[in-house]
Amino acid sequence: MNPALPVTAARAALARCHACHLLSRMKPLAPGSHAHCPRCGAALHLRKPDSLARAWALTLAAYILYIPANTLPIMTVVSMGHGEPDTILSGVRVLIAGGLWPLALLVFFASVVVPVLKLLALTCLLISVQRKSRWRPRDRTVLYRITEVVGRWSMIDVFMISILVALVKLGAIATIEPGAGALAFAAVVVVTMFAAMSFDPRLIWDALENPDER
Amino acid sequence: MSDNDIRHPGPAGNDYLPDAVVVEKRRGFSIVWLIPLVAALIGAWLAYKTLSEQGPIITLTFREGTGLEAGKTKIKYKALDVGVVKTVRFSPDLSQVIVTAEMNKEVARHLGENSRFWVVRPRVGLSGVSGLETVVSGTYIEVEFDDGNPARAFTGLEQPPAIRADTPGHRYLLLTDQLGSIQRGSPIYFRDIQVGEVLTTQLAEDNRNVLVHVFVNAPYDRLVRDQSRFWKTSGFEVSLGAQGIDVRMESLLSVLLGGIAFDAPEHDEAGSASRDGAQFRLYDSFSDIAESSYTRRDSYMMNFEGSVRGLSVGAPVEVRGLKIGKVTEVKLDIDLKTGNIRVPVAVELELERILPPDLMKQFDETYGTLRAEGRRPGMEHMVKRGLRAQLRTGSLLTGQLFVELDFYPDSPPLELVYGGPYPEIPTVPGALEAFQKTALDILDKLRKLPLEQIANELLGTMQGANRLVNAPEWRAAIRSLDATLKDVRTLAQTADRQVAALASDVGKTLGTVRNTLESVDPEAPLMVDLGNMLEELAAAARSIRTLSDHLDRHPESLLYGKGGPGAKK
Ligand SMILES: [Zn+2]
Ligand SMILES: [Zn+2]
Repeated sequence: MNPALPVTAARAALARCHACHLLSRMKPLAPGSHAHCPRCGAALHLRKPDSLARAWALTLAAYILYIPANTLPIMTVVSMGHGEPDTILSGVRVLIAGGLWPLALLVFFASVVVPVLKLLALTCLLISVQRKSRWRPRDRTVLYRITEVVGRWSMIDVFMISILVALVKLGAIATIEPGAGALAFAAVVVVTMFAAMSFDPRLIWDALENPDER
Repeated sequence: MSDNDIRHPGPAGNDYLPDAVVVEKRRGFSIVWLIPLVAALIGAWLAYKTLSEQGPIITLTFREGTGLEAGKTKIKYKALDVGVVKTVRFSPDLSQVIVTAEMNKEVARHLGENSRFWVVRPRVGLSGVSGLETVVSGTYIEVEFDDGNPARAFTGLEQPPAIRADTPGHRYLLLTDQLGSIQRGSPIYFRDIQVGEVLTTQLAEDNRNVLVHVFVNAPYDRLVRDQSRFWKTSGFEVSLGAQGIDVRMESLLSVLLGGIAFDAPEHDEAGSASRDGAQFRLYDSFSDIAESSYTRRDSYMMNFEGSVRGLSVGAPVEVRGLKIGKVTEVKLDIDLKTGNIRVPVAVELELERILPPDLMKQFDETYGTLRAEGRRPGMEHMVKRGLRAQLRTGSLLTGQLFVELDFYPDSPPLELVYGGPYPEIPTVPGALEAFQKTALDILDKLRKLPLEQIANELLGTMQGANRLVNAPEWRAAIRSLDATLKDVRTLAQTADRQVAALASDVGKTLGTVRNTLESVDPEAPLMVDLGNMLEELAAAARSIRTLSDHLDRHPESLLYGKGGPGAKK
């Protein structure tokens, strides 16, 4: 044991149960075997299981879903018998054309900028961890925290649509119908949230513990 | 880093901690990779759906783009959306508006080359209001499909088609010289029932005819036969006949829009209906049909002395009031050598009006060869017998002239002259000149009338009458009569009391009456004057009666005088 290195639970071969918070000693596990909490029986992990694979899969899914989310109409506003399906970007354009700059900016940030930045941040974290990069771990941890916190605000569009659909039911005069894009968009937000959740930020620091490998 | 790679055994001193339970479990493929797979499948499905729902893109050309909006304007068929306008832009030379539109996939195979597109806007026409719903819903493009050769570029109609392609019925083409009041939407009548309408009107390529495309709705289209005749109805007809004025008015629509009527010939009742697109002649009026059925025409020339003012092309040529032809040309002909001015008038005589069919056949047999040489033997013969042409006034109000052919056996003998473009019929001075002469005669006669003498005599008569009324004898007589009446009354009052004295009183009274009557002497100047006056009045009344009788029989003598040509007839 290298005393120069910080002591982590993993290095001490200790694992805390997620369910009952019991601390137990871990032994080296044979491939295909699982550790369980001796008290409550929940699975024990030193690190989130399959963190990289899950995060990668979910990020990839988010990328794929991001395409229909932006190209398909997210809602159709039907007023006075005629209406047009709007995608996110066309909705922003309509808002700008209507002079509603603050609202347009809000929608643009929440629906376009934030999901994209989040996906890019996740990708960046995943690649750096995969490559066991030792580059600015602290900053990358901050990036991860921001990603996790900011992610749920992307749901603002989905909330808005669901509220509008519920409120604006004026029969022949005006109705709002959600489009397939809204579903894809919601899926993007949920999937990126799960991707951020399944990413284990401790992996960022793990790379620093064995400098010999690099 | 994973769970099974702990390289550093736990430090001493944590032995009080329990060991984790290790379970053997086979782990396969991580389920998490199903998520991107599902996402990819969903994405692929959405992409396929979007692409497969993508209908054909078509190009429409319009003259103007009123109300057309990219991404908004719908294309409708039977009031349902079948497409949407994608872009609206100008043609390179700015002369037209080019619209690209995406059609629904389900109608793609109906986009034949004869599909018609037009912009529906509110329209107010004489035959109704249409497109009012677009005030609320916005302008849209209406389409009418055609399952012909597939096409993707179309020229939009400026006007909605009057008849939908799926309306049962037939189209026909009518040819006419003048369009008149006929226009798009003009009704077609059969026995005053509207059975169709005019689709379009256009000038024929030879610029001589006007083509009128009409549509006759089923089931009336079977009434249109090859022998059917179409004519224009003005909707309002006034005819002046022997029975008086006859005003005939059809529907207000045909007054405003004009109209076309047709008939189904009786003898062809069993005949088959005309095919679609059949051509017909459109006559100007019903009477025009009979006129244009005369096919055999002979042309002649006439040279009239004097003015032909009032003689127009189309003026009738008549024999004793019956039309047998018409004037076809009136022109000025100056002989540059002699400086003579002539006005040759060309006329066309319609043989069918003159000869019944059986006589016509005989006529052809007799004169066929001579006629073939350009001779007109029948006319030659009649000119020898004194047939002459004369200009007559048809209407005093408008001064319209017509040509009258009549026999003047006393006129100097002349012959039909060949040599010009047509044989020339000799003429006699026109009725106009004769009329002017007669008018002068009438004025002359009026001038010669002893107006002064008549006035004096009338004055004398009036004075006599005046004298009679104011004569003193007349007053005396009235006074005596008055006294007598008083006596009579007295007599009547005393009659019952003095019956005995009655006789002598009666005798006295009678004597007084006699005296009174005697005082009015038949030889007195008053009575002579009265007699004269009565005689003169009787004579005046007689001559007035004679005059009015004569005018009754010969009203034209007012114009022509007693010896005028009118009196000769
Ligand atoms: Zn536990
Ligand atoms: Zn820490």
